Amino acid sequence: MKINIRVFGDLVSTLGRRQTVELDEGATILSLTNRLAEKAGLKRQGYLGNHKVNGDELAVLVNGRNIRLLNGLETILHEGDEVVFLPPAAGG
Amino acid sequence: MPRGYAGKFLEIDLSKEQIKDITITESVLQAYLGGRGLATKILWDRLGDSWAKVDPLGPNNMFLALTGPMTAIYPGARICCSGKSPLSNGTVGSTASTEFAAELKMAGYDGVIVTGKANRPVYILVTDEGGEIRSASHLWGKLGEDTIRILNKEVTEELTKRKPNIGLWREPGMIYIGPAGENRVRNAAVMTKICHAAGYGGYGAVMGSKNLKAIVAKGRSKLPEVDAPEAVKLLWKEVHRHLIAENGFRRMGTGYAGYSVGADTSSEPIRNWQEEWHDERRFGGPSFETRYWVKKLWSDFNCTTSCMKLSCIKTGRWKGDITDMPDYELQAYCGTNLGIFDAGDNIHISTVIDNLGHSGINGPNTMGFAAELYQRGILTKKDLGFELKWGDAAAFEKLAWLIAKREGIGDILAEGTFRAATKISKMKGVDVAPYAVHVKGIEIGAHGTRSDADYTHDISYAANVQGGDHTSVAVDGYSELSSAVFTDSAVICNFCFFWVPRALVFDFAKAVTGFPITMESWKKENGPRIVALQRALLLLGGPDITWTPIEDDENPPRFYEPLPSGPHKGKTTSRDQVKQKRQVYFETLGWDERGVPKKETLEKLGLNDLEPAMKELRK
Amino acid sequence: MWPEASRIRIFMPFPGLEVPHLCAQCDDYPCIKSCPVEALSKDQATSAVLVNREKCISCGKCVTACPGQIPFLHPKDNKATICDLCGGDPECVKVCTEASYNALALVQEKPTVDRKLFAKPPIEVAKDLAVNLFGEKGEKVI
Repeated sequence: MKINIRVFGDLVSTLGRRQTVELDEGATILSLTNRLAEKAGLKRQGYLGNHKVNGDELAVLVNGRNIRLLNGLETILHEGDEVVFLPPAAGG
Repeated sequence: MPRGYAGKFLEIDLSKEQIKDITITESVLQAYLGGRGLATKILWDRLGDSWAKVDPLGPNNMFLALTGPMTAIYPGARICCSGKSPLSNGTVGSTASTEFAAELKMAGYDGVIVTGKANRPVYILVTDEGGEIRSASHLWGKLGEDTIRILNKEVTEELTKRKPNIGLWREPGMIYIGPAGENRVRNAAVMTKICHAAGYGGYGAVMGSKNLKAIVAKGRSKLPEVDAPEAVKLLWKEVHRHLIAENGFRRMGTGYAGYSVGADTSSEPIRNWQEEWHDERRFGGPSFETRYWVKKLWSDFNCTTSCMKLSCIKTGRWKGDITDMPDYELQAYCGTNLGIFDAGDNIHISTVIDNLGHSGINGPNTMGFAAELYQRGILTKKDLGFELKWGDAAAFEKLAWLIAKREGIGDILAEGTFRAATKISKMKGVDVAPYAVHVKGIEIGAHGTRSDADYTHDISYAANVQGGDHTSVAVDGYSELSSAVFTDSAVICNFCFFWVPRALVFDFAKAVTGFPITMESWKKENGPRIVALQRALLLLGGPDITWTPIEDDENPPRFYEPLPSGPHKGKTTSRDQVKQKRQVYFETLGWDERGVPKKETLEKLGLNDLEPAMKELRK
Repeated sequence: MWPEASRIRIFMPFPGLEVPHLCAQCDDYPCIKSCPVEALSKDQATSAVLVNREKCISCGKCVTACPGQIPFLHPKDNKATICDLCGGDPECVKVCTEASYNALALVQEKPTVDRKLFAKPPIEVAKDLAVNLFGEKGEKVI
């Protein structure tokens, strides 16, 4: 199934701004982030660069919903889902 | 007694000239902390019953200047101003960095609450002996720089007279308004230290409507005790270690972004947001740094980051101007948004805006709006009294003065972009609302949503209870509830917060207060509670305008026009995204499909007293 | 934290003009001479001014005698408060250095250096700083 990814902030340099990822049916956020990490040459499981995927700082949204309110890393993805990676940021 | 707090608040009724010390129950402090949260709670408790009828510029509105338990103890001391906003008719937690916050706590007060209206210009003085009302007739009309100079002298002389033998009195801390606030310019700021402003919300106008020129504080007591002093010492060192390592940000502040936000993320307002991209390389950081920055690491009380820079123009047309950097927002709003790409001109407009007590974002948003109307021939030279061409700093200075004094066209523009647009549409028989860039009356910060490359997106402003406030945008109704909602209530500076591991910040909060503060509780309970209250008051609105849910939970028309230039040319905000994300945002917060907090949510958050009013809104 | 009890206090006559204010150990010790009850003395080891708090009667004469009006009466008990250099290893210098600000240092000045140049009222220092930072405008801000 195809999952659409949008990336912001300091993760753009490692992951690019947008991509579409092909995953097996029933894949979870963890499998997605592992795939993205693999593609980008990042080593740590459950992390994207310095950001813990299911941690306090990086906001990971599936169709606008934060994974912390779904099933965290075990959140199951579906065809056409949009996953957004939002490192904490704000302006001044 | 909860730790981190001085233990009492000063309440002053300016109509009756009554002054008293009040306390707030520990359970309320634990839930709302201080600043934004506590102010919203107090406003609901005192004015909730008649909210829709309260005129923000009338004597029944309240003006609150509150600290939080972490203020002056955690790096980055700030004061949080609030009240019913003359712009949104809701509430904003509007903060500014200042020693005033520390001095207030040293005088024994966690905040000042002002009601009523004085019958002549006054200022409030807060010392260890309590609060007092003093004449400000000699200060009314004075610009920022002069206000500080005069009050510093006057207050230290007075305190020396009262206690002559004890040694030199240090200067007091103070928040004040300029002519803009005095004349109730709807989006006027509360100013401090010449160039720091509590800008969003229009609270300068609220102070002005009370004939309140300034609040001055000087205390000689200790800062409040903390719950776990040894832990706080260690944690402070840890926080300090993180902040002082931010070499890039400390060197440049946000004032290198005047070029890059335009050129890179393409989200900077250019000529009233007609474009969001520019490649004016001469507007880069070094143009400011080498010629104008006279102090490169400048800060306020207990701040490690020290990202401010002091700017001074020493020769030429604008000789004598003193301001900070300017920071990114004022580089954009007092610069690119007015078609100004010269560092000196930008600094000049910032200085003028600061001295007049305009908000550096909201004021020039209205000026840019006027300039676009001039560009389109809707406002003419006859209407303005002069030509208002993009890039003409002298013309914009003139306009800033007209607005501050409510003279000529200034009287209409002083109503803020949204209300001015309504008036001008009627006046000219042309709908000029498409050119007004605001959300719920609050002019939008200098980060656009059309490129989608900045941190602001679809619902950042549309769903935001503080409208166009870029410092506290809506994300997903969960992750952001422990960011600005927290820092505005603990009252600490965001730039002493962003680079610190969140766990450390929340451990610090716990070590200071002894409250069981966690990031999770702020995301799930404290934050949603405050934001639900703000949403309720925002929807109750009035008296001149009440927002329509969904319809007004929207971006301005300009944010749906495709970007005409730059690397993100053709892009625009997606209406579908806005619709979808807005629904998810409301749902996550436990609000109904129109964003009215649901009964179960109010019960869960202990806000049952909101239910009758919300029930009415659900019809 | 008690900023007003600290022997080093920071004044700010105008935003951006921060002036640290603390004892410079004048060679002729006008403060010690002025004390009617001999509560002030010189620490022979560090040359700092020492205050005998039991003897101090809070008269304030040392404040007026000081060219910079540096001593102050403690907010808690009104006793004269003057920097004693922490016995030779000042705390303020330690923390300022540890914090990487490096704005304070313990210095052994030569006898030919006039200590009174360092013992000025903050307003006087600020007037100079103002012109330094702001040029001609500086003369108008204080």
